[in-house]
Amino acid sequence: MKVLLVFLFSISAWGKIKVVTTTTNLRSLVEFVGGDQVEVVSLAKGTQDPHYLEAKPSYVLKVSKADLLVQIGLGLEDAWLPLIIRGARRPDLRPGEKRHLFAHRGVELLEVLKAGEVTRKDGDVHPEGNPHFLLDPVRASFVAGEISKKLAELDPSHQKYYLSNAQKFSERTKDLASKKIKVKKVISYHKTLNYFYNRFGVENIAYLEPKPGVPPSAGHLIKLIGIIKQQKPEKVIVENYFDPSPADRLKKESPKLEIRSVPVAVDADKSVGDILKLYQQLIKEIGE
Amino acid sequence: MYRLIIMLVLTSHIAYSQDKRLYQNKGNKFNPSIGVNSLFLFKNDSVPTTDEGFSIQEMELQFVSDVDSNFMVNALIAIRKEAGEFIIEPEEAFLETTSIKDITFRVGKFRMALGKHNQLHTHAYPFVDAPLTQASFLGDEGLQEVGGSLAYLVPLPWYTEVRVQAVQGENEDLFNPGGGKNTNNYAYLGRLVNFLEVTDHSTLELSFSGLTGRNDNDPLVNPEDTHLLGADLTYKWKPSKNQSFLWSTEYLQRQKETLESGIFSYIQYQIAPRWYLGARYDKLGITEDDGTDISRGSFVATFASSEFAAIRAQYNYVDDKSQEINHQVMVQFNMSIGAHPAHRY
Repeated sequence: MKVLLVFLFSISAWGKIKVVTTTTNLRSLVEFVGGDQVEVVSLAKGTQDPHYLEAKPSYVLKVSKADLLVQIGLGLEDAWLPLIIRGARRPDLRPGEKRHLFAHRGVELLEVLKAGEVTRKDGDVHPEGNPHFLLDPVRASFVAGEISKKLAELDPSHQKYYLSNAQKFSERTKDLASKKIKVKKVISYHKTLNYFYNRFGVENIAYLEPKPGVPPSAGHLIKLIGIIKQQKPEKVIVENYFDPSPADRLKKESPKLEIRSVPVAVDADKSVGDILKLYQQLIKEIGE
Repeated sequence: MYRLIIMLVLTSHIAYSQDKRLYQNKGNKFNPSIGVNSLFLFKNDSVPTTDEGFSIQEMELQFVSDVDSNFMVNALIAIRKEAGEFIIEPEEAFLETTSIKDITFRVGKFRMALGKHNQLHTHAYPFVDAPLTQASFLGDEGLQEVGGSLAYLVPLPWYTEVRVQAVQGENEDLFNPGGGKNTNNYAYLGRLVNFLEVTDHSTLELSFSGLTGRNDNDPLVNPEDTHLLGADLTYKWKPSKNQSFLWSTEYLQRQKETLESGIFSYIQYQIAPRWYLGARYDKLGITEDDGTDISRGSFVATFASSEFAAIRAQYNYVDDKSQEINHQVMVQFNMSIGAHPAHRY
């Protein structure tokens, strides 16, 4: 019975391009662009921080069957993806090859550092640029365009379909990007939302992490309380895969502060099944 | 040491003779990824031993790079003290194919795929020290030999990998007690890895290994074979980056003159983002009833200030059936600088 199901399933997937993405945000973009011509899986779940995945052999299995691998790049997946690609024994999926796509290529990046400006004492930094660019709808629509070109290259018979899907997606992101956000000053846990803030004119005045990747310490929280008194931010935004309890401690000191735990990835909670819903949710949670 | 110098001279000669390459390689752009792992150790035993006090447990210099579009090279040079003197030796130095589909070939010196623990570098050990059985059967540094290896990813619905390795059998504890090169003694290994995703957050690995090779115990009179058989089972649960649990057990038996066997089992629990607790039980000589078996219980607490730095405190309760129980205390500083390639799962 099981064999039969597997068999039927593989028939239904016949002819579709099998895409593996590293994050659910990328998966959602590929779904918008590829429509019914693609079958997409993401290695990271929406509830997982993609910095900290492990090189699980089940990922190797997924990648070994892929027609296309899409990753963010900028060091985000460095701790695990190289082993997965090598373990899958698929030379055609290596960076630079036809069936591999770096989503960051061509994107206007923030926080790019020159060599020598940063060392490991500065925590988990990405000197080539902040890798969370998909949280800006405008940059995401650029990436959707790049994905459509790549899909068209692999499957030229549906070129028009992919390009028009990317176009449709781009129009929907324009609507979202023109929305106004009332909140102007926030504190965040990690540098995840900087592209979103940049697009919507929100100022992030401090982070709960003393340094990227380093959990909040008591001393750092005391410093933050001082900053809050001086600069009066309206909200503390915690990406929902982080522990919200340090933010609650800030709220004890300044009760006016609003704490919001927000999804930053598709599938991070039930309400955000695709990336457009994710933007709507973020605009609502951060902006109102 | 001489061998290393000769190796360096030879490789520099090869590089020099290819002037074209030399031009392309000017500057730092094509340097390999370089990393240094340092392990500093303090140890104290209630029954006096020779390795107590402060020491450099080991330093590992690691170089990794693609050679061209077909090969990559991984070299790990270990520096450690042996018999009171620092020695430098390639712990691993191998090339691997990168452009062949489904199969990976490896040639050079590598840690053999005999169980899970033997494939770990010292800095990646789950405890400060190696399990009793591994250290006793394979030697303090584990089983690393020169030869070739083939790994095939079997196209099945779950993860199955077959590894076959053929090497020059030089390990003193298994094949060649006199040391030195043993020209016609090859050893062969097979390993079958099975890996199941139990739930979204938990995985189960069950693997089997077997190794056979001629030993030189008494080559003129009675050349014999050494056989090793092993099985390992690992369960991992990781619902988030702040919490995880691991339970791993490895059994190993060795047929060399007599049949010996040993087992270890450990759990590791991540209690907070940067804190880990572990407990291990070791038994060497499961079937021995003549009082030669050793058992050991260990507890370890690890504070990992980042993925590059860990401080560990470990306690061992060692019962080797002599008069006294040995209580060991160890503190290890485990530091990595430079590039650090991703660890295996």
